[in-house]
Amino acid sequence: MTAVALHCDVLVLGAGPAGMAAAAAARESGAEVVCVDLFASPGGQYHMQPPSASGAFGATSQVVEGRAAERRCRELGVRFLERTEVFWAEPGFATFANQAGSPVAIRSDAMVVASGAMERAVPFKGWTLPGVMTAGGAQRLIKASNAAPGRNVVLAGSGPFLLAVANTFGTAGLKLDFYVEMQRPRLSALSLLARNPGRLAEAAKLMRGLRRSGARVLPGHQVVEALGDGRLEAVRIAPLDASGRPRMHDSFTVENIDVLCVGYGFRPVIDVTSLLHAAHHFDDALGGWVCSVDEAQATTVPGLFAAGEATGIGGAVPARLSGRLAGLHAAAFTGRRGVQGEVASLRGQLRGARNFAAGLARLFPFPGHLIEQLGEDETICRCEDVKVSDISAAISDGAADAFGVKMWTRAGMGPCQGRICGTALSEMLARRLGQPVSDTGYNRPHMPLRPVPLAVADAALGLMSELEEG
Amino acid sequence: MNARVTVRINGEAFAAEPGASVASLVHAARRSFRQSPRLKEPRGLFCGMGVCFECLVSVDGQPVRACITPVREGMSVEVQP
Amino acid sequence: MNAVLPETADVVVVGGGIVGTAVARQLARDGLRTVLLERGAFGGAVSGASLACLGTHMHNLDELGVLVEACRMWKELSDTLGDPFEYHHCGQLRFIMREADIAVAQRWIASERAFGLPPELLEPEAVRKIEPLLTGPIVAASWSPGDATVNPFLAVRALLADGRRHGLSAFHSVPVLGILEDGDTITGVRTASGDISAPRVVLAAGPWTARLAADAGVAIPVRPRQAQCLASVRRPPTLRAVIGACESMGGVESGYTQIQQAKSGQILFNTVVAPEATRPDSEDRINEVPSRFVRDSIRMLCTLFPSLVDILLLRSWVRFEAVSPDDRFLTGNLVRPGLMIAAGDNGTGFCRAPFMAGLISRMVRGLDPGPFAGLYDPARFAELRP
Repeated sequence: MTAVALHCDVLVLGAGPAGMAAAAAARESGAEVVCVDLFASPGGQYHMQPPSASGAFGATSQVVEGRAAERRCRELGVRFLERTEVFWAEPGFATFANQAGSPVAIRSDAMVVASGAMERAVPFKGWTLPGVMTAGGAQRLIKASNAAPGRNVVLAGSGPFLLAVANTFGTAGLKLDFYVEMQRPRLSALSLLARNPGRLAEAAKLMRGLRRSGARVLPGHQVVEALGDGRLEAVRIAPLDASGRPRMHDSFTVENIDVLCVGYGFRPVIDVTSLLHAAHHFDDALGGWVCSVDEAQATTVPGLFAAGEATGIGGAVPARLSGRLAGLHAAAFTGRRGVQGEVASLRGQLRGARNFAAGLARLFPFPGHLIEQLGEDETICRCEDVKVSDISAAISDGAADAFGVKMWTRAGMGPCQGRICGTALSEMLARRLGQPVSDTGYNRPHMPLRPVPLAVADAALGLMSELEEG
Repeated sequence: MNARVTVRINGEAFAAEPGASVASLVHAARRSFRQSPRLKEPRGLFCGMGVCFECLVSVDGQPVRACITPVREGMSVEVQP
Repeated sequence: MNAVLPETADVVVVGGGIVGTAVARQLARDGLRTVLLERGAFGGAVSGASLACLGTHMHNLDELGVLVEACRMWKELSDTLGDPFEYHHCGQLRFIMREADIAVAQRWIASERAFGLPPELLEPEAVRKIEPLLTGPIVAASWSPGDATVNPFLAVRALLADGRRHGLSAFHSVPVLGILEDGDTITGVRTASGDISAPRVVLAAGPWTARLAADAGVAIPVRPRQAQCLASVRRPPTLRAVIGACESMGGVESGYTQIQQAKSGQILFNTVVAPEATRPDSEDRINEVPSRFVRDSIRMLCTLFPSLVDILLLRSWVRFEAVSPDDRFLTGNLVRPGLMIAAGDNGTGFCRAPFMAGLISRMVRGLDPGPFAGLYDPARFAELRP
């Protein structure tokens, strides 16, 4: 198996709004740019492209803007590597990836990490039943595969993304049965919009879209159980009391539900920045562990920049702005044209965008307390079939952190390496051991960052010395 | 609409939209993708973006995440019964 | 960690890996008020990266008696504790790729058979009856049918739980900051959560034992050696035995290979062609495996098992073994009255752990430690004679 070796000035990880903005900016500054992404075409989560240009999503602003961003990048000469997953990176930088079964190694002088976000998953009773999926997973089915998630659908959780997904159903002409949001509308939402009048139109549009979806809207409610034999068949919903806890005796079951889409927010993907020993900090409102950057979007590792969700969950607007800043500075780092005057304006806009995102995040605080509702017999680690009772037993035998729990229960040892169960484990250990969530440890990345076939790993790593000479 | 492609799931033929993910096809055909390793519980599509590995199926003999794999004409998908 | 530690004990054991935990459990079972202190997580250092192979094949010949007894102790532990650590009687194959090594293997086999053990030399065809996927270019392999493996994490957990049932006080996240002394005599240990007075302190902290001993003014010839391991994503049953390279003339320093499929279904493997130079000031933090090691390991696995070339690599990790000049444990009294040691796994210490525990406990109780104690006496090194 022969590996492909590439050289460039700036390597951008991720082709979402932040990544494409960074790639275009770096290329405009004269840098040679390679941009890698896991999916078959650029766009990331925000700009994900439909399978064909016709269809309900072909004309949405997200798709149109995404295609425009991709076109701009290609016209500028950005080289995209699609279906490419990074499995290792070395300082300075040498990056090793799996391109749909083919080994790739990339030498670059700078790197922009714009790998976006992943689900901040919260387990609940019955969550492993087929038919229960994330809100993001449902959105991707609809938008990128033109597929209906199911016949009778409940969308539940908390956060602005839920509203976006409801709109996705509406735009696709798909029926949504229930929309279940933990939070109730609050005055603080109005004051946030009053401070950011530019967002009013978007908010109004999203609310209209929710109405169009036909869903029965239940604010101040929570899904407490997914029921079914071998697959999802029904969903139990409970109203929340004044303290945000479910009133179980007032709960009701909705029958004949075949898909439940759940979303409680996102957390940054920080594999590569952690691997390269950049500094991170814990910010619960921004998703948990976040890569720390300065005004130039620079991490604490020279030449390593980060943009978009990796620096804190904030959506597409901060992603584009921070991506552009990161691209300009990364190109400047490699000795290309210096940073232009637009930087001050970009930073100002980014500050405003981040303030709005932070305000929005405060309206939908992450419900870490949900872990308290998970019974001993429920599964917490999906990959390894680890139950809460297994965790309890390990703690009582002397496990004191995620590492100790992992060794004795296998939680976090499966293919996802703790990405899905990590949040829940941290919340559980924090509550049971009296430590802050940020103290209970997160699964540190190792070679390989993602599972990779042996032959691909061998061939890609084999280029290491060649890359060093180049 | 573009011409459909034919994909086999456990030998049975399905028509799929080009560019769609294998996961969308398997999810529509049968909610369950595989069994969990220890308790043998049925598992289906969860995160849809390549993180959770719940959608692992065998495509042309190789284990892949169905959610990040586009369908292809003649593709043969094996799903745990 | 806000532990409330006892103020006194009969024995303090420092180090909660398989050796320290086995020692502490044995002492507690034998009626001594024992405190076990682990600076991190129990079993979280090299014990967790151990192949945990229990066997008698191709180890130091003068330790054969010890190994036979240790293997028996492990089987007994599994049976009496209710099979808590995935004891798996799988056998071990040592593959040979060079004709010249056949004679080496035959010498090992002859010595072991003279001791009453059953290893034999197999032709490739016979090897494939045991391990059908081992279709690589081997010329022969030795087969030691009695070997077994355990889950190293669960073994530490089970010994710890059994120790506690017999009165052991064990604390994680409590580093020992210093050794207390009164004149020449050791009187206990110092921790951030307080001092513990004890007439006996047993140092069982793997390579980090050297620092503790230095604090007590004793320089021990134990140093860290980097060890690493790779793991695949789980697969259906693919490998039956533990597979290793035939111990060649150069011993561990000239390279080794270890492959096995754990109960989880993951294939664990590593190959060291030439050991990574380990810095003497190495710390037991998370380190990365060198890419050369990854490639060497992948190549060896795929050379032996060509059909595994597309399996998914999932994880790697680095730990540090404790190496001594003659490849044997230092177990026993350590120069100063009250100070003892049980360290020096040399990459093969897991199996020997319960035996070392027995030695320490007999010495502490003033009983005859038995005929093998001399093998491990720290005083065999000139600098450690009192």
